Amino acid sequence: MSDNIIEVKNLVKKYDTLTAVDGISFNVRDGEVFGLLGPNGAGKTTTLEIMETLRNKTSGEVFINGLSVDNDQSEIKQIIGIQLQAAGFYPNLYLNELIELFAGLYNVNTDPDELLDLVNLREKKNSKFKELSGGQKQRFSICTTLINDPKLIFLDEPTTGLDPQARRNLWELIKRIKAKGTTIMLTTHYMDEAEILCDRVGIIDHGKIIIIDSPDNLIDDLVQSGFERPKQVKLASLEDVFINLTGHTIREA
Amino acid sequence: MKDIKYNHLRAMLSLTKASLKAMTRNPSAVVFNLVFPLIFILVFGFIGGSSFKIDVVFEKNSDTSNYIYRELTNRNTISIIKNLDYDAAFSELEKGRIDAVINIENSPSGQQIVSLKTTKASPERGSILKVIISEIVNKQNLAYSEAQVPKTELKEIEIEGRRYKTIDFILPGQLGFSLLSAGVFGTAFIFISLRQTLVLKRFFATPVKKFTLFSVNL
Repeated sequence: MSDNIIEVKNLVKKYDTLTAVDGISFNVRDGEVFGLLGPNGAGKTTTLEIMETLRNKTSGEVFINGLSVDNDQSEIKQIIGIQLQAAGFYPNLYLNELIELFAGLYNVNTDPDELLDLVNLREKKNSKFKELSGGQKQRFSICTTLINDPKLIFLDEPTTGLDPQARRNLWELIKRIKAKGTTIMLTTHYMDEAEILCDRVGIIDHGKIIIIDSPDNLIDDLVQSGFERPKQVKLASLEDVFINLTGHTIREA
Repeated sequence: MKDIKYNHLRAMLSLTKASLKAMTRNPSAVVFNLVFPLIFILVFGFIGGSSFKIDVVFEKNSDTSNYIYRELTNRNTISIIKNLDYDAAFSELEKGRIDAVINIENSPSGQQIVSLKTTKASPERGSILKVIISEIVNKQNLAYSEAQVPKTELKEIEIEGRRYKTIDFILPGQLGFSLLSAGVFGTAFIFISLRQTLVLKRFFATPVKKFTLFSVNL
């Protein structure tokens, strides 16, 4: 088996008249964090959902861990974890019951407490999903992707709509997951996030991948080409000020 | 790769457990599935409790001071409708809204004549009434006759039994219908709401089969 856990070749997805994904190719290496960046409607989520086997592609080839999304959907689903951009959970169930439900769906034995510890939600195990705050919801959503101990997890805009504290908290979580050797494929709108988390990023626009490289190389290349920010950057940003004033602890209602 | 084969039964059982748990915590589901059918059963149970009645009209100039009239008014299967003139009564009789028109007159020869008009619109009630009247008439005739001991005597024994009411016929249908509606509409509503809240999408991200999901909710 190659080092690439994801191989995408000439992937095309057409909706009636719109071409959402227009012949993209890329590989994701085993154990890395790969970020798919791009404006709204660039085709990030579509690409992700095709890799997750939730959506059919028009043409092209996608292999997850050597398995084709055309033929081995069920096998693929057993080795990946999926966090959807917007997802619901079965109503009226408590978090530990939801985890038991998913454990059953994945056919694995799991300890809900241990999983909830991983995302710091143990004290919330007897709450319902809808009672959680935004950050807690995202953390629980990521928690459910880890139930089957996947080789690869997909995170679709995990930090959108969260406050800076919750965002930083989630970054730590993603780093912890990566440290266990899990490959992570994520999409985001936040470049600072991609810079901190991702080993490599692919920038996608109008359904085409413009460039793939590590964030450092991309920045260096831009600087070498003579680019300069119109305003000299200060040593701290407003976000640093915000975090400095309000603290790192996450706020939970 | 895991070597253990994926077990759909286990997925199905955990889904069933979850959906049952969720349902008991959802007050509206309880109302729809239990209370509604109960209310329907009660409502239909009280409707149509009316007993068997034969509607009879006596003609205006009918003699009412006799044994037969008194006997008829005492029977609780017979309800006597008053304030209806002959023409109206006749047209009601034609439509089957009343079951008989009776006239009792005393002939000059001292004989009592009971004339019974029944209708083809309501033949069963008509013939039952005929039996009742002839029984009364026979009784009276017997009393006038010379015979000391009647030739034939009727001994009647009524055994214990359960009377069937409307509810007895409706209840099985009601139960069947509520099961059916819970099955068909319930499943549809559950799927609509699960789809809208994107729960289904999250489920499809697991190795569970669509068929398993569907059969659980049935």
